[in-house]
Amino acid sequence: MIHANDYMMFIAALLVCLMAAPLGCLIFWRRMAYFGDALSHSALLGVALGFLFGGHIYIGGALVCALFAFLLVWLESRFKLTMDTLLGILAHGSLAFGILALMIFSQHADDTHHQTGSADPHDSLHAFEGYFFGDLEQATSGNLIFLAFGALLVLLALKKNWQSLILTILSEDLAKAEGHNLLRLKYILMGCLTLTVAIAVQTVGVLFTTSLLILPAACARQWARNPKNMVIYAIGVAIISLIASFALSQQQELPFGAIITALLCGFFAVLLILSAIFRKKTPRI
Amino acid sequence: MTSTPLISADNISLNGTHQKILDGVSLELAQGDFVTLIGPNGAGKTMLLKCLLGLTRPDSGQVSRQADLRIGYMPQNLSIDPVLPISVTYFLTMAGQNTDAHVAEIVQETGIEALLTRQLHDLSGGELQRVLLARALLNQPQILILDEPAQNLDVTGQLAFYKNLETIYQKRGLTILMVSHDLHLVMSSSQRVICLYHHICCQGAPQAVTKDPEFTALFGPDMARMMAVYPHDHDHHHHHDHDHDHDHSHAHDQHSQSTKAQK
Repeated sequence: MIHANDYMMFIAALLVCLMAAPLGCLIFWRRMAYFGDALSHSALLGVALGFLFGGHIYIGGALVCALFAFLLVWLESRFKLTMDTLLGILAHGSLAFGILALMIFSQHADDTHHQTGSADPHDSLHAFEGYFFGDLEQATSGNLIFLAFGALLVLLALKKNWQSLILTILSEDLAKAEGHNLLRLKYILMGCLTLTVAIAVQTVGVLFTTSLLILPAACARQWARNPKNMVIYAIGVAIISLIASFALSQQQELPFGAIITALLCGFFAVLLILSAIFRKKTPRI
Repeated sequence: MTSTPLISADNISLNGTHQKILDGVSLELAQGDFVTLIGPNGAGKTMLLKCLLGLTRPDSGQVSRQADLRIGYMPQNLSIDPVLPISVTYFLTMAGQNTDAHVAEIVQETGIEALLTRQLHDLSGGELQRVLLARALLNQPQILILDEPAQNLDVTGQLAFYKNLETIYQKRGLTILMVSHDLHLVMSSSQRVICLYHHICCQGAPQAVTKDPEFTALFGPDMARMMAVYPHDHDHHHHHDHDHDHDHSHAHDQHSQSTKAQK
């Protein structure tokens, strides 16, 4: 049975994959896999704050992600701390604050519920679950327009700065000497990543956002010989697994994020074995 | 030529955590110069290049570059991470808008035809240096700045690299600033040698620099003596097949004497 809403859900997931694949390649090349994770963790604080102040949880998530990304770039350039240390501190810090805020809020809501019978305490717990596993049913037509706009923005920004971004990965000094503004590029990359993570968290949940970024890139790396065709392969891999996992999640009522991650992992394992057999070389991951 | 210098540094200093990395360095690079920067490890050579390139801002002093100066830069130690798949061709054609003919010309000039389909991270040190040189040349630079371009090469490779560089320098009418440890090879192709140890110890024509007491103080008397005879060794490289070892040493002796006499 296919509902009209299913099409919207599919398009939403497709847009997320289209954004995540090229960005995933970039963070794969920069060895920043942990970054997507940290960023999505930080979104929890946003969800909690969104709740506390009665706003929309995803707007809260996006805002905290953006603040988080900005803080990272700024701290890194200002205090010369290494990125992995900063990520560890900020990600777990915001995760801890997020969990504490959400717990305190739900206990408080619980108490008032007992006293007055007004607020529903399960709202926050439901948001918690949606936050971890994603919620494709968020894909209403209004959300889709927002999503499509975000995807377009990210893809255009990446396309426009593609060569500079690649050159920066090869050598920051070389890029700088050729007149590229490194700080500007960093903010562009962070901005794209923030937007993508904030959107992907809605679709596949915090637990699987990183896998949607990294796994298609890791699969594509097995056969790619140039940055551009690696991105095309990554998009291909993501779309194939998207179609398969979408069909499965509709049939079995299983969380979409977990299915697509499991499929991508399987895909990756097969490619790894094939590449080891056919290329007789250590695969590069 | 008395035109304004392409790049000039005026009394620049750069502070490290414990000591000054650069201390009151002034220099000018004019059109057509071939300048080599030598100095012991940790003398601040790379930082001086970075200041001249505008990658690092000095703590005091002024660096000025001619407006719209096209610089080709070859950094030290470019390590290519194999997680990024990228072929030599892709790397070269990413450098702005270049016609195929122009790319082909540079590829031929730097002798990298056979490397074009290879992956960047698969190249040996020497191959990568040639590709980086090609990339630096693609933007039709007025000045080439090279940071220890031959450090990963064996002696034959070093000779070939510097010879190729000299050919390109002459053919294209470039200006070159290069950091190098290969004193003996550098002495022959440079017009001017700058000896750096946080400050400029001495500079001038290669011959003159090797006789400077500051040079001796920095590199030791043995090195100074060796350098004083080296340029002539280079002159005779083309005749290596001929058997005239005796003439060689004879020429050296004579010349050493004559330079002493001049002094």
